[in-house]
Amino acid sequence: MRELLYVLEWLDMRNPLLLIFRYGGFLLFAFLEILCFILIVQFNQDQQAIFNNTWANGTAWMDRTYVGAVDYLRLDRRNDSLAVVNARLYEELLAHKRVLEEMEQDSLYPFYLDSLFADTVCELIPAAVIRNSISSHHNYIILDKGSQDSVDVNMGVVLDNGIVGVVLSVGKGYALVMSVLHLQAKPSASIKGTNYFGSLTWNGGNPRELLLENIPKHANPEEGDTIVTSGYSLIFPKGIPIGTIQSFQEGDGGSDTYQISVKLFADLSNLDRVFVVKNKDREELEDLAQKIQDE
Amino acid sequence: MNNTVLTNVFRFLGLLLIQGLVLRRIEFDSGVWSYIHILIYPLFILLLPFRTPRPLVIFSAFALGMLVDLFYYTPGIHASAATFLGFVRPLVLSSLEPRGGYNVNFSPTITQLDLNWFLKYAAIMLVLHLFFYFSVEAFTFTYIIRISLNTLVSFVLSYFAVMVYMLVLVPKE
Repeated sequence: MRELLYVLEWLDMRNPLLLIFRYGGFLLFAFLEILCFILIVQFNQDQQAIFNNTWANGTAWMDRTYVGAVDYLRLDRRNDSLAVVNARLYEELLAHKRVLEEMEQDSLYPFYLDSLFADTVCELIPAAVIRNSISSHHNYIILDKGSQDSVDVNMGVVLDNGIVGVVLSVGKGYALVMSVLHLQAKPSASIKGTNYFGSLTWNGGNPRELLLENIPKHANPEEGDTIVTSGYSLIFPKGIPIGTIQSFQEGDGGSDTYQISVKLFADLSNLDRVFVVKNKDREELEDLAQKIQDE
Repeated sequence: MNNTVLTNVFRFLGLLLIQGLVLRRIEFDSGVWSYIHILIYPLFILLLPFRTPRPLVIFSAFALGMLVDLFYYTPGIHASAATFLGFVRPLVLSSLEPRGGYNVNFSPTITQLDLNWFLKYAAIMLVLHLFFYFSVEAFTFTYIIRISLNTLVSFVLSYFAVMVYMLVLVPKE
C-alpha cells in the first residue's frame, strides 16, 4: 500500500522533475546510447551495412508474414474462382469432344466444317459438396448451390472423370442430389466409340463398381474398354468418362445381351467440388418431346 | 575541492592523449595478436571521486569516449562503451563495498582502499567495458566467439597497462 502511494507520488504531475531526479542516471544513459547508436550507424561503414541488412531482413520477413496471412484468408475465394475457371475449361473440352467424335464417325465432316466452331453444349456450375453418403442403398448428396445459382431439378452433377448424380430438388441456396449410388438411379451410358448404350445400375455393394445392363453381344465389349455417358438423355452431356470394363457376363434380359461390370474412375466416397450440368438445348428438346407426346 | 576537479581534468586529457596518440599506434596484424586493443582510458571513469553526481559520471564518460572516437575514426563506438561503463560504475562499486562503506570524499584508488580491492574493481570494470566495446564493434552477436577472444586477449594487456599507470603515478584522488 505504501509502495502504491510512492508510485502515485512519482506520477504526480506537480512533480515531473522528481521523475527525472530519480531516474536521471538511467535516462541520460539511454539518451546517450541512442545518440551513439545513431552515430555508429550513420558514420561507420561496416556497422551501417550490418544495420541496413538486418533492417531489410526484418522488414522483408514482416512483409512475407503479412502477405502469407492475407493470402491464407483469401484461399477460399481463390478456390472458388479456380473452380469457375475449371468449369469454363471443361465446357469447352466437352464441346470439342463432341465435334471430334462427329468427325470420327462421319466421313462427310469436311462438308460442314463450320461445326468445328460449335458453341459449348452445356454450361457448368461449380458447386461444393456439403454432405455426402455412401453407406445406405439410397444415397443422397447436398450441394451449396441452389436456384439462385440457376441450379434446377433434373440437372446432372458430374466430375471431370465421372458422374455423381441427378438433382432431385433445389432450395434457394442448396440442391439435393440423388447419387448414382442409389438403387433407383439409372443413367444411360455407352462404350466409348460406339453408340450401343445401356443403363447403369448399382447393386448396393461396392461404391466403386456399377453394372451396365443391356449391351448387345455384337457390340463386342472387351475388358479395359472405357465407358462414357451416352448423351441420350438431357441430364448428362455426351462423352464424360465414367470407368473401365472390369468383366462381363450374359445378362438377365436375354441371351443376346451382356451385363458389364464397370470400375469407376472417380471415388464417390470422397467428393469435394463438383459441376452441375445445365444443358443449353434442354428447353428446345423438352418442347420437342412434348409435341411428340401431344400427337 | 578545486584540486580534485583539476586532477580529474588533467587525467581526462592525459589518458585521452596516451590512448589516442600512443596506444592507438600499437597494432598487431597476425594471428591471435590481431585481437588486441590496449584500452587505458576507462581508467578515468574508474577513478572519478565517489561523490561525483551520477549524471556527471555518465556524461563525462560519454565525452571521453567521443574524443577517443575522434582519434580512432569510429564515431559512437568507444562513446557507447564508455557511457555504459559510466552507467554501471555505481552498481559495481556497491557490489564491492567494504564493510565500513566508502569515504565519499575520496576516489577509488589503491592508496585510499587497498591493492586487492582495486585489482578486483579494475578487472570487473575492464571486462565489462571491453566486452561492450567489442560487441558494438562487431554490431552482431553472430561473432560471439570472436568478441569473447577479443575481450579476453585485450583484457590481459589493458589490465597490465592500467596497473602500470596506477603503480607508476600512484594517484591519490
